[in-house]
Amino acid sequence: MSYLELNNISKSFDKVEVLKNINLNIEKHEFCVLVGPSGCGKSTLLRIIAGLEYPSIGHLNLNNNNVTDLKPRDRNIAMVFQNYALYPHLTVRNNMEFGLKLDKVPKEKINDLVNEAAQILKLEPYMKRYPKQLSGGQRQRVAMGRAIVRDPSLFLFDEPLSNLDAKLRTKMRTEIKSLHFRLKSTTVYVTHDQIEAMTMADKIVVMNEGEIIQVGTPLELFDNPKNLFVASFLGSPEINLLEGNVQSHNGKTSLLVNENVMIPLPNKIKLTEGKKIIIGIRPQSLKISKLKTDFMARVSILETTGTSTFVFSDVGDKVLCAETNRDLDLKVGDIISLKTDPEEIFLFDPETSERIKN
Amino acid sequence: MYSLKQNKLLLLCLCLPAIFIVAFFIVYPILNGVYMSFTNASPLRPTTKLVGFENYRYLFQDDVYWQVLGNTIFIIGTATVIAMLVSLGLALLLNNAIRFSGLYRSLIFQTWVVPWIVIAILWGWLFNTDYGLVNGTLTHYGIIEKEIDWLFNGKAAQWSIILCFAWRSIPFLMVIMLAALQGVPNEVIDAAEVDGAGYWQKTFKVTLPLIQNISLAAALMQAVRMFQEMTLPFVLTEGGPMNSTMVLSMYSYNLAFDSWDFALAATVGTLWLIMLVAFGALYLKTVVREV
Amino acid sequence: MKLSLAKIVERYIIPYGLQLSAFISTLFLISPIIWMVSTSVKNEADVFNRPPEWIPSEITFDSYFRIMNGFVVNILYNSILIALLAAIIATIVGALTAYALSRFAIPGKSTIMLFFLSSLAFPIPLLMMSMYILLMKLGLLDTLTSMVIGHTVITLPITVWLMKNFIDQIPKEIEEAAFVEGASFFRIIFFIVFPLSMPALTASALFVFVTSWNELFFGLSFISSPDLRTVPVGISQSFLQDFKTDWTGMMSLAVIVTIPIGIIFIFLQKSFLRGMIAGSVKG
Repeated sequence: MSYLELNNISKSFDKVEVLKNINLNIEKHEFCVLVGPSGCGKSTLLRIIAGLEYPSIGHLNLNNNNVTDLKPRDRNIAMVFQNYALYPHLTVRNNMEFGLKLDKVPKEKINDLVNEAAQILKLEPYMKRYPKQLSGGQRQRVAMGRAIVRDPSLFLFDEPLSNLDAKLRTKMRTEIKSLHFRLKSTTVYVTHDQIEAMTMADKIVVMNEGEIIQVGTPLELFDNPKNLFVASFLGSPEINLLEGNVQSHNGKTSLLVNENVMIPLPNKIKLTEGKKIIIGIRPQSLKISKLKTDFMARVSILETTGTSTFVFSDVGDKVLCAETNRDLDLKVGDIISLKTDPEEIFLFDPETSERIKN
Repeated sequence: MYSLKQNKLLLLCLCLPAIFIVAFFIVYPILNGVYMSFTNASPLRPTTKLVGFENYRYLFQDDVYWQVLGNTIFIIGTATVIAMLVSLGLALLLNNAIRFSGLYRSLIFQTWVVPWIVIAILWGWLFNTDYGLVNGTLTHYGIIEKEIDWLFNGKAAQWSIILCFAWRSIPFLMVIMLAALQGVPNEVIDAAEVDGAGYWQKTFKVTLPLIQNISLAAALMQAVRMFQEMTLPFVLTEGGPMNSTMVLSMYSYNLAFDSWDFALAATVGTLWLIMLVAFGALYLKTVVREV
Repeated sequence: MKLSLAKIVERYIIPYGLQLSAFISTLFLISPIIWMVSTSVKNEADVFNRPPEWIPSEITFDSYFRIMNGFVVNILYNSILIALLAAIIATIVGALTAYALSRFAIPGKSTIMLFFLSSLAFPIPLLMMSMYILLMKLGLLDTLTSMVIGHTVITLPITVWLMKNFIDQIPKEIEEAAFVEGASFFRIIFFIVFPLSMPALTASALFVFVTSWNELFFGLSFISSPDLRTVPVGISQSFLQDFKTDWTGMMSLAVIVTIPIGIIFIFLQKSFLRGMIAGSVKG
């Protein structure tokens, strides 16, 4: 049995169905990320796992116990909230001691646990301060400290990095992950940021409109998205999408986008002539060719990150993005030839948005 | 965490005292009061019987009642308007970064601390015809020739009460308006400035509309409170024919605890209630704007 | 540098003008109080001097000593006791109810809130009559309890309203965090919500205290024993009999009777204003 099992969980608020038949297994020591756009239900699912909400239908098992009706305190979980939710009127030390005192842990043990957590999170200089005297990053660490002192069965994070600036976010990502390893914990982490999901997760759960769309490791989802939604959601910059009709010629299939653009398609996938499909090409797979091809575009924007350059170009009325090395000599307005390896193209059915595999 | 189903017992415990108090001491008295207006109830009578609309008929024919009603509306209305204007002016004044503005605000607000009874007596003395400060100052500096009969003469007496109510309302209204002014986002004012507005235009076209809701709601609350106020009329009217300054609250109280005619008092009260609710609803509908 | 007339007005006249206006307005508004204090320390003879003396030529505290007696102590004691009890009860009951109304989706919540607020407009004489009969049946007439009940009843709507508006602004996540850590609702309310609601609690308590201190008519109607009179009742009755012409004495009594609230007010004013404003402006 898995460590955390969610069986047929559905949740409605006042006739609005927010979660639809969720089934999910999370293993011990796993770092599982629930990711999806705003309103997809990921936070609600997290709150159900925590015990702050109860499912309308379904049950959950934690460590072989049915915890569906248990209060949070009886599930032995810890949670880090988006706005940290520190107790404003208590010092950092008191914040971290709060839960332990409720569990009636002896005073000496409390001190040991709190000091240890403070050391791990480098909070020692701040123990006597109040939350309003701390920076965002420090508050976040206090929130984590509050969670780790209790040695819970499960760690829950609800978009903890959303309120931090970009640089701090990158730093904290690594800190959270290394903490996870160090404590050998099991973590469920909610975010809308797909970069966080990709970089931190052992298992990603992509959600949309109350349903689980796809579950897998980051690379599985990246290389093998189940549908258009997953393919567009993961990956930065976003995947390039083009629509066109299938054309066969001499045993080779291509996509006719418009009279100027024809793109070779993977051979092993059987497609009917004239069928309309959508293709997805990741920026990393879209290359600029030195030779002329049937895939012409006009450069509109160039973005350099310092390590690579993103070339945005117009094809018909669409804008495509190609990631190249930074030293390419291009200007806005140049006409370029694009090419891509057909095997790296994703094919999607325009009606179902599902991926076409065979 | 806050689900109703899981926490029924807790909710009951939290709300029970308030529910009990409200039901027993507010809902019941009100309903009973309305009921009483249809009877001839009185503590002097051992039993009561229904008399239908008799009380209402009596009241509508009573000149005194209409005079009292008119007085009340005039006094409270004028006092509220004056208080609003003065409070607004003060709030606008103190909203600028004047030195000591905090001190001024404090001092003005401190006047609220002085008990009503003290104010009533003080006011009675200030406006005393022969010895009062007001007449004394006015005559000494030649502003008026003969002392004004502030407490006994009809119109002047009304004005002394109006001034007192206004004076009493100003601290509360001023503080609320000051807070509302400080809640107006600076960017909006700046935008008006960029658009070319001068001080008065900014004030009338931008600032005031933005504090309109709160200010007028506060004014309503204050007016309603003044409606209830009986201490001042009570103290000032002791010992004199005061129908020109008789207000509804005092009138009702006298009926109940002086004449012991609970039924009639209840009638006055019920009519008052209907009036106030209707007025309040109408007022809020017209005055509250969508921000 | 050329200084046009407009610039002079703007840079000098207007700021000083404002300063002066504020000063004069404030002075004007607090003048009755100044007059009250000033009279209380005057000599009997100087009271009616013309031109009226704002600052007495001679200051004496005679009148204070003259009027201080058992009666004054008695009414002060009664009022303080009633006001304290009413403040504590109304604030705590109000806070608990406000918490329930703020956090839980109680059916008909907005109607209840509206009802609470509008109960302030209900004619007090109407209220008093029924309460009189009720208290008579309960045998509570002529007791301090009746006063505490009466004062709590008329202030409860406002304390609930003030506290609810304030609690609405406290992020729920803090309570959720405590809940997740295993705290019971009792703990959450008394150890987290209440400490964080101090401004509103202070504002409510102070409001109830002041209202109770001022309240005259419950005292006149419900109490008949001279020993149980509150400050307003005592003053209004003795004013008619004892102080007909003793103005310095009357003013001294007035000052004495203002002092208890004045002191509390000075200390709690900041907190009180914050709470009241947060409660009303946001509402």
